Amino acid sequence: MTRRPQLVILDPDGPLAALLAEPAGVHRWLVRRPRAADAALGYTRDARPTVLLVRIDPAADDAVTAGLIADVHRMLPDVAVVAVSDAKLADADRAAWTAVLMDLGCRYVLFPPVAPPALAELVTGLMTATVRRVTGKDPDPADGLIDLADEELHG
Amino acid sequence: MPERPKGRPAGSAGFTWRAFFHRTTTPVFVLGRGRRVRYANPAWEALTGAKLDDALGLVCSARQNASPLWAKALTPTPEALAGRPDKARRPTPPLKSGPPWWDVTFVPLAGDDGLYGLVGCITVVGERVPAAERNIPAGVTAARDRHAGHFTFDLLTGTTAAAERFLGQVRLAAQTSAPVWLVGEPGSGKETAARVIHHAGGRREKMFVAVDCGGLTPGPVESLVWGVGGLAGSDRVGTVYLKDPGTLTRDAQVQLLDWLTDESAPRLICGSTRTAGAEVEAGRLRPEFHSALSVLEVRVPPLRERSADLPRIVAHLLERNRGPTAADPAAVAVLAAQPWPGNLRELAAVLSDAATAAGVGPIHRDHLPHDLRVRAGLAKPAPEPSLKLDPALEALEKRLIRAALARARGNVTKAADLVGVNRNKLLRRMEALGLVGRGRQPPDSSTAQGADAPRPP
Repeated sequence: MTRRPQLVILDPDGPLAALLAEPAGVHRWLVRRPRAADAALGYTRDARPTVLLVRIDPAADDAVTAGLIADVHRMLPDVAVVAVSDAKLADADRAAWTAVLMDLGCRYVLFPPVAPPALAELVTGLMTATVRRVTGKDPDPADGLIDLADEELHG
Repeated sequence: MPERPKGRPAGSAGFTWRAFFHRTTTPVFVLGRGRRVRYANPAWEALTGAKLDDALGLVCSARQNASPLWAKALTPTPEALAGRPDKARRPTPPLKSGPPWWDVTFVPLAGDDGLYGLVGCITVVGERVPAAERNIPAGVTAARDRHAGHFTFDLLTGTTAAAERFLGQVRLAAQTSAPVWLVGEPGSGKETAARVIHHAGGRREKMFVAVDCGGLTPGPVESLVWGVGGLAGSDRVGTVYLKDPGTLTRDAQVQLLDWLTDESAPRLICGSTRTAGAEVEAGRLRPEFHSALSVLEVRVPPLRERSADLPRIVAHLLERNRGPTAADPAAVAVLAAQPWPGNLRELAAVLSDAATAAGVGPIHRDHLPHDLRVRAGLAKPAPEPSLKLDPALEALEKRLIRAALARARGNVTKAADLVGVNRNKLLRRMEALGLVGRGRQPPDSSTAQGADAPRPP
């Protein structure tokens, strides 16, 4: 049985979780909202399809978040990491940040404007691909709703 | 007395530095005892942009405010001035920080009565970084460099024939800048191989960018590459790795061809479960994409062809996960008995779960999943799942009731509405199924907004 996919959002007090509440409900993803990088890494170690969203601030020398992205990519390469920033940068800076964050292991980098439907589409696509990669099959929205393979039946 | 030619030390009739260094392509310079320039070769002139005639006699010191910037960059280290060979990394003038750097090697010319002078040579390290790239903070850049340092040939080393052949092909790929097509089963480590090729190759200073073509819809892919501030506009991308490029639209494939066949474009590495030829035959890949961008085809061996390397691979994966550092031989023997259809990905997942079960100690075979031990002949298969109808229906009923209670926030009346029975019937079923203690007074549904309502156990 496929364990429920999870969305880990490292965006303390930020709006990302609210923006993704609808697709998370529709697809029955677990939503984890750690407040620190260590806790986020702990959640991503959970053996279930995972997409990790992290808020980055280009103005801060945030080596901790950069280290988290690199650690997750190296230790858990099936976890799709998306970096999201509020910063409005010049095109060249934006391209440079996108390149360095993807080199660290991000699957996607978002700069403003971040449209909620586009964010939902992106995360849904990455989660679908992650489930397919981990389980070898497409996610079934009904899977787990009433699961006849539940351990309660056969345990 | 005839005037001594410039560049010739006193008392050195018939000797010139020129005879030794003038034709060498390495930038070389000679400083006298007082750190004054006595000689520099044409390669040095080309690098610094200074003329020898103008440079002769100038003091190389960081304290001389009037000295040109190159002279400050060539200031001998205290170690070199003390008579010991030394090397110093300096930002390339006029930059205040590298890259590029000048690695300046100082060889002291020491005699009985102290230092006569120093011979220096300069090696340029790294490439100039655009202003935008310099805006990446040092901590992030350091994290990137540390991350890049993990992707070495050592990751792919093995003693099996398959591993040796694979490593040889990867080394060859790293020595060229030709496009590479990595073909291998799911989970066999194609992206890791692509990173190793990048980080061991000539573009290692630039960035490695992996695009998950199958995991992204066409919109995000196009936005990532060609959108505002997209990767196509950055000269810091060294390698683009396309994961499953056959899933790209035909239009996106044409756009990529236009971008990546340009001379200044990043290197392309593709990863797929099928060969480029097979992708073309299946109609998923444009033929010109195949001919232009899959020059070198490298097969990534599945894990089952590298079973002799398993102990080493297991040790590496455990080290990577910062958990238990070892698996005992009995556990490795169980792992070696598996067919691993999911390859390294599947092995890593099994080890991750086993590491959690093991805690801080080594992984024993009891920490491995039951089905693996069955396959290794060490455990009996679990009994077939029951097909009895009554327990199945009971479990289904329990789950429905729990789901309804959760959705109704514990309000029994609302939950009864959701499952389509009256409140009393729901309570009776909950009692019968053990979801609420027998004889317990049900809460008043009108006031029980979850506070004292029966909770799903």
